[in-house]
Amino acid sequence: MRKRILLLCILCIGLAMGKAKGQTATFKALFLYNFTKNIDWPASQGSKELIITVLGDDEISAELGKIAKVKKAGNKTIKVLSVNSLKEIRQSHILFVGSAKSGLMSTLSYEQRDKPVLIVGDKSGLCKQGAGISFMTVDGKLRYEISPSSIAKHQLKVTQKIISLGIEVQ
Amino acid sequence: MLRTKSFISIMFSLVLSLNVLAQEGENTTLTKEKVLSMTTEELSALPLEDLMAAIDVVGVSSLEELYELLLNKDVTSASKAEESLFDSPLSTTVLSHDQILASGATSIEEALRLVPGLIVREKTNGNFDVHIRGNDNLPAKNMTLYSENMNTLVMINGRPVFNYSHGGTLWETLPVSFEDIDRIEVVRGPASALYGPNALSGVINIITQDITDDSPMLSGNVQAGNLNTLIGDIAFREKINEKWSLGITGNFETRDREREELLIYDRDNSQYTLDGKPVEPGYFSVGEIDRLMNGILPVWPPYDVKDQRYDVYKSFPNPELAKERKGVNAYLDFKPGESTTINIMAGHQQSQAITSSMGDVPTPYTTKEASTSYVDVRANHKGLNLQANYNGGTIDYMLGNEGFELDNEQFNIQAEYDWNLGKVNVRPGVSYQSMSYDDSKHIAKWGNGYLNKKQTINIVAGSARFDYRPFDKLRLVAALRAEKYNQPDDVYASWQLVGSYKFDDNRIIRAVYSRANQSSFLVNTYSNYTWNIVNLPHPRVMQFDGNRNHDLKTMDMFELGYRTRPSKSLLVDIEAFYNISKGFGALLPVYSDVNIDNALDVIGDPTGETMPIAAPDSVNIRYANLDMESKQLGASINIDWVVSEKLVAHGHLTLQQTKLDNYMPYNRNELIGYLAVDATMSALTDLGNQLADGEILPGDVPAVVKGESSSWPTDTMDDYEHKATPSYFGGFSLTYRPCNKLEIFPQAYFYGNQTYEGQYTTESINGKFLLNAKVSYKVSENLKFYVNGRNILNMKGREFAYMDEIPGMVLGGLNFRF
Repeated sequence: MRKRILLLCILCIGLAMGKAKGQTATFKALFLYNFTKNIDWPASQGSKELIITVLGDDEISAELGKIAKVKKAGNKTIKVLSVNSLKEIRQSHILFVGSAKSGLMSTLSYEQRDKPVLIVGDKSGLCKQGAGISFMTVDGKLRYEISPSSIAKHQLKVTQKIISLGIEVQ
Repeated sequence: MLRTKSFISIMFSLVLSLNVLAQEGENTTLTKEKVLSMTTEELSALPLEDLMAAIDVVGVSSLEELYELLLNKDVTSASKAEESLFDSPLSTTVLSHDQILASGATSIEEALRLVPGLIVREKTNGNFDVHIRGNDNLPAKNMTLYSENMNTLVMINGRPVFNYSHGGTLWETLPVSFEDIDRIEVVRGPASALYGPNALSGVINIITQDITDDSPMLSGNVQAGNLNTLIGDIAFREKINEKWSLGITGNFETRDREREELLIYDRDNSQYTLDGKPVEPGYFSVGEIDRLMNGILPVWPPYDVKDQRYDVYKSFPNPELAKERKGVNAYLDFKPGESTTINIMAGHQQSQAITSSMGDVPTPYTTKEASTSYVDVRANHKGLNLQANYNGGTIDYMLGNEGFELDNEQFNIQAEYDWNLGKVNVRPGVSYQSMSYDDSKHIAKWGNGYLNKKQTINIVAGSARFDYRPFDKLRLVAALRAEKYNQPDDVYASWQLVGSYKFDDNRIIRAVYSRANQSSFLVNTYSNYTWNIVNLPHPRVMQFDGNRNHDLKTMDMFELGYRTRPSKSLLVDIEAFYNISKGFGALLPVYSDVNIDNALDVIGDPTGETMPIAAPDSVNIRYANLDMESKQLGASINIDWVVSEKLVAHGHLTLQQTKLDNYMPYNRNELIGYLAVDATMSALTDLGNQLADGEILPGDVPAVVKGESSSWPTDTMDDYEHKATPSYFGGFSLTYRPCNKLEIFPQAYFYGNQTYEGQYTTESINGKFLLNAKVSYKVSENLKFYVNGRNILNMKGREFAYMDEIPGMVLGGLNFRF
């Protein structure tokens, strides 16, 4: 019996496979880029650049920077701004709030309440505090919750596809 | 043997077939290698649905998922809003559903051993005492009732599940079990300003699972082991459409004690006889106790219960059974509109447990029996939160006795509004609580109960919480609450004042000053019970009275906390606390009269050698406040470390010291003795003076002279070290996953020596080291088998005074979700 248990343990160790090194920041950056294809900003937001501001997440900034070098959002060039405090935030199309800055979400959403900006959080539950979209992990898969009403308040139009692929919250 | 082989074959086939099914489900044309080989440009060109499919193939790395699950949890109980645990302004711990299951904990209480600052002691198999940081067994030298944790508010989704009759939590009466639970949030430190009374040392908020698209339709756990232990629960959940969701859960638990005999106290060197022979106090079967009652020196002389002779078999119908409970819960979630949610939860539970008694019986054990139901409605509309609930039923705190079976009804209703003003978040609120208990239907005649009718405690409260961020790094929180009680007719204020400063994303410091108060309890407020004593030589009668104008206990706490993430894989949380508790009270002798049989002989003896022959006759026990103050200084450290994808380590340690000022080191009988001596001396002095002054002639002195006293001893102690809470306690665990299918969870919980000062004797309890281990094998995503060893070193020592020894236990079980 002991031999069998030992054999089982050895078998399991042998079968253990190394998971891919963290790709999450890349995937979140790809999501953010993809959101630009599924959201319309009002014309008043400017026509040359699409500004994505990243609050407190250097990894996402770097990954977005890579995308910005090779892709455009429609006919707009993508500009990525990396900031570390609320007072550094300027007018943006997308505002990504890094996980460590989640505590600032309610203040930020209040300050941005009338602006045409998509606020994206990096933790579940942030849509209740004013984010339009927020990333979350469900059973090892990257997902996002989405609040169409919150997005609409910021004068943005979203495709039905982006709503149906996310987890809708009110 | 043939049956065993067949069983093994069937199980083996089941495992194989499920493995094959699981593998078949994973077949896909898009491979991980393909996705990882794609360039950023290629990936960014994909439509959203294809991008998601590609990302799903790779998945989130296990390590990052572990960081998210273990080191980056969310909590709602500390601020009444979802926030990162790292940012929580209070000392907070969150136990997730998966963590609880992985640990092998066999009950909610046992799972709490994973939480820093919690001292968890098992009384009998599956029945636990749970205290946050300690301050237990106060006032000491009193009834076992006062060892119950009356300082912690346990809630289910914010609904108090507190026993307002005597104070404390009857854990076996909680209707929920593991499959109901999403997480357990523990907030250490006074929290009445947020949750109302009885959150002195903190709150334990059990939060149930939301029903979402990802909820398993059917999930459950079943495990069985020695001591006839059988524990199980099952949940069915279905999101019917975007508006309606439904869930039904059920649970059961049955466990035996390690022995079926009951301890008979050593009460002031009492002597007993069994079948005509003298016996020492110790363990006896119920049959033996029955015969002890009829002995020459009866342990329990005959008395009536509901007009019938007391029957010990009715008190302990199942002396071998430690715990038996079953519960059923129903959930209904409704989303009528974009900004409105309504959650309804209702359920019923029945339980029976042999655990510690309240006191005053010759055995420290009692059988508690409960049958209760509840309904809880939570509604949210655009920041307005409403919660209303009812909990009611019948609880018999001392089966087989009269006056301890009560019907109860509790109503709570509260409204709070979240008002986000940018840098300031304001949350005003109002609440009303009504707790009624009624023993009249369960007593043979008026006077046999301690209430003898329906009695009610009402609390009306207003509160406000201000959460201000003057700039990104600084957060100032002020939570204030005022409560008006019907009894005592008084207003109590509680608060939390918090300042936290976040140096950077990985370091945060906080300072807290908070106050919380206990509520009044029915027994303290309304007791009206006459005990015609049958099992003590004297006094003849004790009258128990509540006190409608007593002071409620309060706790003030000063706390400093520091959280740091030295690396992405490590979270360290340190908290240092100092708290002062005042307003302790207990049912205490406040008056005794005395009969002196030889007053003239004593006064007339010129040598002064004749001792008075006197005994207390009538004693008045009344709920009275004590001047005692408890001062506790302590610190906790908690470390969570994701060592690798396969190994996670967790550890916590609490050190504490409790000192008492104005401590009166007398038990109830000693206090009665003091009152009786004072009454005797006063009566003899008065009589002597009257005789000397000629106001009375010796011939007119009655044969029995009466005296009375209401004076307490004045020799109180300061700086007395109270050792009921161990000076250190903590735990550590490892989660080791050598492969995807196997999980090994060794866990230890330990505590130092403790001294319990009881009503009759003092018991020293040695420290203990409990080692547990659970090994789980995941057959598929849907099915897991496991072996669960509790206290595998079989360290049998008692964990709680006078209660059972707790031996090792081995269980086997399975966990499923479809």
